[in-house]
Amino acid sequence: MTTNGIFRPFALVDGRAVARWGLAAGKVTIEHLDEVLPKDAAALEKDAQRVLEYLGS
Amino acid sequence: MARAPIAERLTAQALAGEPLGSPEAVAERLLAVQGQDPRGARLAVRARTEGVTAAGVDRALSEDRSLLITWLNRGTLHLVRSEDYPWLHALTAPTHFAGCRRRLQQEGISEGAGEKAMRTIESALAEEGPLTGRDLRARLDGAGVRTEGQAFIHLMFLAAARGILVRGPMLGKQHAYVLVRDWLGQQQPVDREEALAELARRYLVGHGPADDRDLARWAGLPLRDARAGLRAIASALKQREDGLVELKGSPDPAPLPPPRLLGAARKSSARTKCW
Repeated sequence: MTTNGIFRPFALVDGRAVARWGLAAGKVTIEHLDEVLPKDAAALEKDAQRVLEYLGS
Repeated sequence: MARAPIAERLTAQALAGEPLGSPEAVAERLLAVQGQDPRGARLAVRARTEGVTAAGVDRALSEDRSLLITWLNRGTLHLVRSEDYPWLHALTAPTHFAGCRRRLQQEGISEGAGEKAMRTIESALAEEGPLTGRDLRARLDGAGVRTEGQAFIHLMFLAAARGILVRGPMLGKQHAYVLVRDWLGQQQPVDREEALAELARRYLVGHGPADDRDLARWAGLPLRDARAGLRAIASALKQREDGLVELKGSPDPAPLPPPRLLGAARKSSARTKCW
């Protein structure tokens, strides 16, 4: 068994990984690595809500 | 290499274009979904579907037995369709044994102790049905097999490489191990040539365009195997100007998807823009 590679959830905007994110205590935290448009940042926040619904948490 | 064909690959991976309708459809498209992190595998399904929830993934693993998780590509855990398990396992498992033997030795497990562990695992699952890792560890401890440190997980890895067990149903929050022959029925022998051809075709469906090295790296197989698979489907391939190949009749790339939170990806994959 190998543990090659690094596993870290990320956010995709226009085909680019622009942020890391994580889930702790039922809350999604998004950490932006690149600048994104406010409307894209808002879309990611909205997607975070859908992640919580999907996971049932 | 030329600029990675991002839109094409996002489309192949079902991250762009029409969402899929079920966890099984995602596993079919990608052939094997990273399963090292249970939540990561579920998020990979989410990013590609509509009308599916994580509970649906649990159902596919448990009641429907249509999906399972086991050590496959690169010796790492992957979520696959139960029907794809036999041949993908037959292709990838032989590459795991040498490393597995070495690691068990490092953990102080002799060959004899390893065999005893396999017998113990097999009879426990045969007699008791699905068992969690904690249960299996207790059975091994009871049989006097070392499970300290990494020994236990490497024993599970060996049992998976041997085709004895997979991770089948969820027992509460725990993913339970099952005996392959009980859970999926008796396995038919796999034709290696056919399996390599299927691997090449399915890899390109869900991850293309790509080249032989991409396939070898993804599957954790020698380059010669990747090339043999691609050669076997040569008449279905289209050579691209950037040096990559794609399947003839591959769909046109869909528009880039809206902003989305994805699960974890291998760092090396992210570099080639391949999630």
